[in-house]
Amino acid sequence: MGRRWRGIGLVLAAHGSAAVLALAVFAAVRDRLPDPMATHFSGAGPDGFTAHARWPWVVLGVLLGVGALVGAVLWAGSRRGGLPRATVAAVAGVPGVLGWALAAVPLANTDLADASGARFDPLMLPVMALAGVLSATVAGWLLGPDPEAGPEAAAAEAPLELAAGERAVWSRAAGARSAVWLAAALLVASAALSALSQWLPAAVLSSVAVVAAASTLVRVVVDDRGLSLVWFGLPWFRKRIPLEQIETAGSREVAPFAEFGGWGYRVRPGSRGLVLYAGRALSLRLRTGKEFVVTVEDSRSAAALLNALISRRGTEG
Amino acid sequence: MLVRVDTASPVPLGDQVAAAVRGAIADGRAAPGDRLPGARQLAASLGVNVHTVLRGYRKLSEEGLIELRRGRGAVVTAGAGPARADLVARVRSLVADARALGLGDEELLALLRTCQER
Repeated sequence: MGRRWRGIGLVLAAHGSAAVLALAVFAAVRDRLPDPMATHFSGAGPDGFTAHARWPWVVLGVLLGVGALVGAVLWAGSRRGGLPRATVAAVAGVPGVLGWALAAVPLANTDLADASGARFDPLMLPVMALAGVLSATVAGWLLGPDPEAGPEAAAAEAPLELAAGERAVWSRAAGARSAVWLAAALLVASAALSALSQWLPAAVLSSVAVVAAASTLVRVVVDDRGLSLVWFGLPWFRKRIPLEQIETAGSREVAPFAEFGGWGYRVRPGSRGLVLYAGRALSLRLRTGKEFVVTVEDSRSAAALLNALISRRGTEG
Repeated sequence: MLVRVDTASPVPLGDQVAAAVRGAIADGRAAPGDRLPGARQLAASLGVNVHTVLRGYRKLSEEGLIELRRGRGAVVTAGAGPARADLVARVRSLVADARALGLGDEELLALLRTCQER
């Protein structure tokens, strides 16, 4: 509980400090700036200008707006389970980059009589990246290491009854059907943003949409060779866990954000796998003592078949 | 979706594959719009010939339970709910019962037509 609020507090504080930094730089050089100053840069030169009186509100709006949004997402995402250090650090890195970008704007205008001569110094890009890394590191260090608590072990599912000559396969698309709706909604939002010429957010949203749609194209297959994840249309692009590497199979609740710090193919100490939604997942206990998870509906049937195949293999060999 | 085939059973393997898919649709584990595993993939998993699986899929397609689309594989049709899959399964067992009774296929069809007239 305390740790969760501390993590959210650190992220909010990072946004606040970035705003203070950007405003302090602006205040320090304000007398040497043209009014309005250049505030938006594209390839050739400045293409957006803002009056001095408005600039502090832009800075506050961006940083506090992003901060509030991120804080709300963290708060909602960490209700089940906790807040991993890596997540807090990654999220706290963003205001470092944003803060320096906003601080660099008045610097690019300093000592100019005419704002149209302003140029954005490309050297600012590595500085922004460095500021991001620095703010991520500090936030991660202040939060402290993740508590030592492995994932709750999934109870082994009762094996399916298999006759001697019987061969069986379990196969299902991974992920939730809702991912398709999410992808569609993101594409609509992306199209709306590109209509407003907001290319960068539009590109980000549409790439998230592609990932969401692609995740539903993963098929989980259980047969006597073990577990395979196969991408539709790319049969050679697969991830396989051979049967002999699996100790036992079960089904358990997974909280992607709290446990794995997000969605997708995730690797955490002691556990890895494809985590696409919060809910029941197929959970394999491997011979190495580690866990492999895949979020897939009807995971208990998959676990029952795997356990039957494992015990049949044991009696044969 | 679970597909199991028994090589010791007298039922042809293609029919066993079709019965497994029909059963999955009937109990709701495969819903309209769901994509079935690719025939090649399923055949490799079960250790049977691709044509055996395709024969099962073609049967399901004739029953209106799945749609076979070129390049997109097999998809459970929009109208193929549990009730429909159950009906198909009952018609199949009706045909089997009639044959067991020594009823010719034409006789069974005539009987069905009689039942349809009111």
